[in-house]
Amino acid sequence: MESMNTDAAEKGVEGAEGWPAPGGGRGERFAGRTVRGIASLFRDTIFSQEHAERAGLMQALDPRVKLATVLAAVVAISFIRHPAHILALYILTLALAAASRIPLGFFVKRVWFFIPLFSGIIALPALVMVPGRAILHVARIGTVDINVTAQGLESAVMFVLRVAASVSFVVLLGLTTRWTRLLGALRSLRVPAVFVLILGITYRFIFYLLELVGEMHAARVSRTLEPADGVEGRRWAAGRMGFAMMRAVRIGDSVYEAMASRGFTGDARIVSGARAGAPDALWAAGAALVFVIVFLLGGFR
Amino acid sequence: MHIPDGYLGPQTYGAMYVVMVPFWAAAGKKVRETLKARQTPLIALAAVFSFVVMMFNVPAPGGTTGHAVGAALAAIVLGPWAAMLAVSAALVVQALLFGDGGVTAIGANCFTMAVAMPFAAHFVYRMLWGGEGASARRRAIAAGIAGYVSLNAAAFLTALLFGIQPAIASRPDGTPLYAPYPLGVAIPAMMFEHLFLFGFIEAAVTGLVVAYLYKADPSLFAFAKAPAASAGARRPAYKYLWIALGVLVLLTPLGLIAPGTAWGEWSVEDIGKKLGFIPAGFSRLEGIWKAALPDYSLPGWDGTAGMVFAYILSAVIGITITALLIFVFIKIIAPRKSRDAAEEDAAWRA
Repeated sequence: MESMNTDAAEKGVEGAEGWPAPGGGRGERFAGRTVRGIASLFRDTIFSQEHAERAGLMQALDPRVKLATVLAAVVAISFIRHPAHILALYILTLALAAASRIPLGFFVKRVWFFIPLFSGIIALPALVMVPGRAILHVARIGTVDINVTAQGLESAVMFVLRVAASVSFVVLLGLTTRWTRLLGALRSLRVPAVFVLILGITYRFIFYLLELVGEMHAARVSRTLEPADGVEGRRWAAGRMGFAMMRAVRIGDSVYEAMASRGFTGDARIVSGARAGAPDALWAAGAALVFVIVFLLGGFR
Repeated sequence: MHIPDGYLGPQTYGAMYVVMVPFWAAAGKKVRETLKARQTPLIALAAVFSFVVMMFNVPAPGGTTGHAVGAALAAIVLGPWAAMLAVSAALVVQALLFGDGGVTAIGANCFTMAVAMPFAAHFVYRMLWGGEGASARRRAIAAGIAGYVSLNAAAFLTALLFGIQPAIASRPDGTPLYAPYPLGVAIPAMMFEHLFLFGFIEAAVTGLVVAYLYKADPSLFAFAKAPAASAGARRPAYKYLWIALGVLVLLTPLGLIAPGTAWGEWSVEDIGKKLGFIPAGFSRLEGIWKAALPDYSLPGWDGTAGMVFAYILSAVIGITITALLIFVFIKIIAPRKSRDAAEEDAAWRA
């Protein structure tokens, strides 16, 4: 992916000798954005899977136990009614990240950008829009008072914390587990084997098709002398999507033939290969303990 | 439009999971009938395509770029059931591996983007497509409209899910526990950006890709075959039933004129007035279930116009959910035998 001319695609400046830089300058940025989006997805995936190889706390756990406890945590977070308890669980994720040899700066950036940050922004109007007890006067428009209410503040804080804590747990899971193992662990949640098989093939071929799409976009970026208008750009993008669909279907046929030639008849069996041991039992017990403590402290009431 | 964790309360996301299970089961059955063993990698690659489409930046009016969901496209080319599985798989991979979209919200996201959107697109497209011999242009326009309508339908459902949160999940002092904006804010906010921006991107993408595929590889459309000719031979006149149903739905607000409460449907206050006291069981169980649309009204919409609208909306929602559940239930317990099996039976009897 290093061959993709991502930087130049984003800059609107002139290149050497007065030629317009690839990417067509200001006018056409969609292709460069797609390239950059795909490149960063590849980069993030490779980096996150690197973390799964380190010798940390969560990496040592059976993926099925990890998946079950993380899901339980996210569900528990959705039942908590007080921000303090959610904050405590969020801090717990930071501790778990540290114990799993994940650099905290990287972890925080990965979690907060982009969903919790986005949630924080959309929750801002709630400060003044949720009706209730006014605690801070903000402005007066005509005869209407705009006040920050206690309920608004509490709900906005709880909302953002809940989102951040939930995303933190899921990101922890994704960073400390090999994704093929993670998908396989879904079997333990009674997800039908065929669906798990589909998910596995999906995951593997996402990168294959993304690379194709990325190359098509990089090819356009590097051949653009003058930006095309939106109509032509849309038509081109749609054409690439159509081509991607044709390729996808053809790959699907080849994959089926490869599977059939190796004995696939439609049934699927997922082999886990993982064995739950003492660390997993300890971990599950620890998780249960945390939930009980939150319950006893009144977090769910 | 992916809903993250923390936006929906457990009643909502749990209910969405429950709603999705029969859909997933029915889709699995339906796809197995049409594609047999080939379906597994094909669905997976359709899921890959769905995932990839969501990563395309598409130029939008005004110099911005946006994303399309692609579920309408999948429904038109692959059929709504295959599209449902493919988009569901893409959403699961996005949520679990890439952290895009919530894990508790997978059921809700699948309902809006893997069920509502493909089916809406399928029906709109079938209404407008012009039949087997239609021109590419006609098909493309039909597809574009299908994309626009289906995306906005999905956005509306999402707004609905957000907007009922404060009503069904708040602290006694009025603090919302999840998405903090009521329907009156959530619906306009979501619909504005989808009616005026993302809808057009989805329409453009769906229409243009269908036009491209019609020229490049029309055989792809064979996956979404029209219903078998034998089934269409003598289709009952459902049209008049639908019209009658529509009229009845519009007449429901007449109930607002009737005074008093139906016999046996008393609230706690009514019981208190009638008896002079409130039985312990009544007061204990009173608030145990917080309805999303209490008494067929939208919380806060108390004017006459608001109540009329709420009645009609309740009727539409109730009918839609009931019809969908019955439809799916029938598909599961009494599936129409595939043509091969029927032919085999006939051969044995001959």
